[in-house]
Amino acid sequence: MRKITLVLLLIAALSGCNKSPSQDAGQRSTTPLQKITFAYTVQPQGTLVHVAVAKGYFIEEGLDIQSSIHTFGKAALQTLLDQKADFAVVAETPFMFNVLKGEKICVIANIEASNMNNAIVARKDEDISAAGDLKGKRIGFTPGTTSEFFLDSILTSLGLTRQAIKPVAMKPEEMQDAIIGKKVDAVCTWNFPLTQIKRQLGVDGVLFYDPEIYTETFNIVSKQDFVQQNPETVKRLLRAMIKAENFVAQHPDEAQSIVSKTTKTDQDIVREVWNAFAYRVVLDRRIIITLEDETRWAIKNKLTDRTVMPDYLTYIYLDGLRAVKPEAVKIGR
Amino acid sequence: MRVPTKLKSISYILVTAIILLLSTIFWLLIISRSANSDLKLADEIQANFLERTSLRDRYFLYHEEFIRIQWEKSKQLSDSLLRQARLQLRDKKSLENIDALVRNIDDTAAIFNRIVANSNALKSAGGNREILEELDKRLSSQLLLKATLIRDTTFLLKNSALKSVQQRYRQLTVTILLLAFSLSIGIILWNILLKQQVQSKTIHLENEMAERKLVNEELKKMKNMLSDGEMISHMGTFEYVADTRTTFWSEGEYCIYGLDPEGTSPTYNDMLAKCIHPDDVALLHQTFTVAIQSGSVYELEHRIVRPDGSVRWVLDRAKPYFDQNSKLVGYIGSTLDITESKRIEQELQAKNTEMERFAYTVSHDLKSPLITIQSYAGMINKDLEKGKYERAQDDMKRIEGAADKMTSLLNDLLELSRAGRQMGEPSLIDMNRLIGDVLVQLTGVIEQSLVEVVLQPDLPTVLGDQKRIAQVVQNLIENAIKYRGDQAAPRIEIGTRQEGTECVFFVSDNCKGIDPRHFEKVFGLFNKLDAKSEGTGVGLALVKRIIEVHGGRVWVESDGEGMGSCFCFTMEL
Repeated sequence: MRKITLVLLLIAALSGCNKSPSQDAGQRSTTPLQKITFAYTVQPQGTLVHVAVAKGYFIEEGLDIQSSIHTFGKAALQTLLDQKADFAVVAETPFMFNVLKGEKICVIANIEASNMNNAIVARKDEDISAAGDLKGKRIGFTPGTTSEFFLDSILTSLGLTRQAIKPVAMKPEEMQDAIIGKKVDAVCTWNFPLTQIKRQLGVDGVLFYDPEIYTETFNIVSKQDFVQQNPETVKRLLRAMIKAENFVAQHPDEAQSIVSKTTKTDQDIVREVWNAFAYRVVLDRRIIITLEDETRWAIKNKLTDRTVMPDYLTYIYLDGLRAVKPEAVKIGR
Repeated sequence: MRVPTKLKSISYILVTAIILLLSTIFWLLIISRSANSDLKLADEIQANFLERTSLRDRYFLYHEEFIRIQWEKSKQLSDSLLRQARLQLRDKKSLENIDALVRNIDDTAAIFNRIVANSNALKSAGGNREILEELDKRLSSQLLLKATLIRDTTFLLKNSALKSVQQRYRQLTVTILLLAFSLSIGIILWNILLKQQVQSKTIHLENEMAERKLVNEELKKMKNMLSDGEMISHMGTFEYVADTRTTFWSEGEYCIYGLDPEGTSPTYNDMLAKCIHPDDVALLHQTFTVAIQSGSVYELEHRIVRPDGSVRWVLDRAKPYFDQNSKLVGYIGSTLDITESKRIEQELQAKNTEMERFAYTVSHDLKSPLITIQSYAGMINKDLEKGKYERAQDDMKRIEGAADKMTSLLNDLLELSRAGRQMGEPSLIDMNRLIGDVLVQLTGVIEQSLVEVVLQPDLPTVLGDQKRIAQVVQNLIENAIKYRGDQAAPRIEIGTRQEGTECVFFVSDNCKGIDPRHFEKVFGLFNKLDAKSEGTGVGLALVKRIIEVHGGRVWVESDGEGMGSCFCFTMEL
């Protein structure tokens, strides 16, 4: 009988060697929260951030997020550049222009990609029923953003140049009133304004996409010195984003509700545009290819003083994501 | 919980665990095979992607149509592989990857075709060349971007398949380890419990053996007691089985029949043929058959014959026993050796006969002088009436003679009676010395009758009443002298001879001899072969009485009249 007891004790001892994961979580929750400021937008591209905030993933990772919310990424990036935020979400175009300006910033992760988010919405009553009809029309756009790059790209695909239209620079929040008020014939923008304007125009509106000429990326960026000095903070932020990525993949309906609530956008619109976006926390070659392509475009169109292509690899911080999700890093040095 | 129950429980659990683990291993082998197949497919998809990338690059370099056609074919193979993958791969992640691949490959194809078309347009481009070149850059950039996605997705697909394979092998290894662990634990527990079981059984067995040994010893003791009891009481027990007509004998039974107890019990028929006295076989068989037929108790006194030829008297008593249907099964009974009681009975009978003859003889022989006395008393009265006084005195003398004879007879009878009742303290008797003393007392008679007496030297010492034994020897010598007849050289020899284990004393002579018909008669009371001879005829009867009182036997041997006689007796040495 004593031998049986010894065998059972051995089994119990062996089974006790595995520490429960909940024990780790319990220990982490006792550490004080780190305050950081995160500049993000009310666009669908920022879905993962909205979900991470709403689900408390930042807190779980020991981060106390101070939100700095903007209408578009360029504004969010400016907050970062103004030292008012530690992290910002922004599309690759504003990032590219700031790199060309010499800002020491870096991408720590791509959190969204889409080739259907950018489009031109036009008024049919201005004799625009096909893309070719845009020639000579007033088209609103936001300089220094994906809006500008997409506008040039789609014009190129139509065999046109910017000189063939009447470009009107404006902020994203001005576009709706401009097109409704017929100050412009079309606007080149992104969601949610894109779909909201189309809905408002109703049958008078028409959308022009070209998914084969442009892929937008939305990224979390920070200052290079900040990430070098706070690698652990970067990891915590990325862990929270990965949790949000998993949640969005598993609970898209709930994620849509969160986005609708936090961006104050009609849930129908959120659901309508949902499939245009791929929410993945990755670092792959696409960001480099896109940045280089846009840099060539910027240099050619003299949108920058730089004439030499920067080494964008040095503007991408790989160590953070590599530490928390190595399989998501597909760029080698 | 008892050890056998524990063993049973552990066996059930172990067998269930082994069955489950073996089933799991079997299942894992199947899905491992499937995972390997998935990996192979992912490999092919990746190889196809690399092939198309190579073709794309060659086309952009050389702009040759056949390369584009090869690229198209490669695209068809790609579509086919992806269709197969969609059917073959099952997990959600892989399916998502396949969807992404399909989407991106289709996008790539569309972009590639636009590049081809744009390239063709460029060949004939005029003022719009710059735009077309810009478009080519934009499309090529998107193509590269999509290619990057495809490359990453194919890697993802392959990694996923590889991980799946690795996971299956890990699961397989863990399951095999679990199986080995379960087996080991099971064997250890089995070993411990079996050891306990063996120890428990051993202790139980040892106790049982000790108990059995005690029981066996008790049984042996009781058997010995029974056997001793049977021996002491000259008794045996037997069982008769009616169906087989076989018998089972106890050791005592074997002893009564003089058979070896190690042998097998004889059958009923063998017993009749070999053990029962031939004169009693028919009686026994008839009595036993009647008992069996009536289901009654069987009881019979009969004789048996031992293998050495000796005959014994036995009393059989057996009781029948029956089965539940009242059918006779057999008999259980006992055999009592009654030879001794039979002998005593016969002796008593002989004594009674002797007593009757003694009473008759005494009354007859005493009556004779009384009649003489009565007759001569009457004659005295008549003679006295007639005054014949001389004659009366003669008659008186005759009466005195008759009275003397009666006195002599009564004295001899008294002596005979004393010999049977009164015995002195037994002592060791030196027979040479005793016989020598007797011969000294009889010296006168011996010399007068000219008898030669020869005494063997070194006669044995016997235990008995010295005075009575001397009386025996004296009577036998006097008897030989008395009946020497007309033998010119009478000779008496006194000695011993060995017969088997017995030492026989004898007193032999070469005188008249005795007809064998009178061998018994000579030892009878008042029996005289020669009526004219002296004495009362009590001498030999007295010899017989004394020897029998001493536990011996006496008899006479003679080849007939004129051949001499030899009186023999045995004594306790």
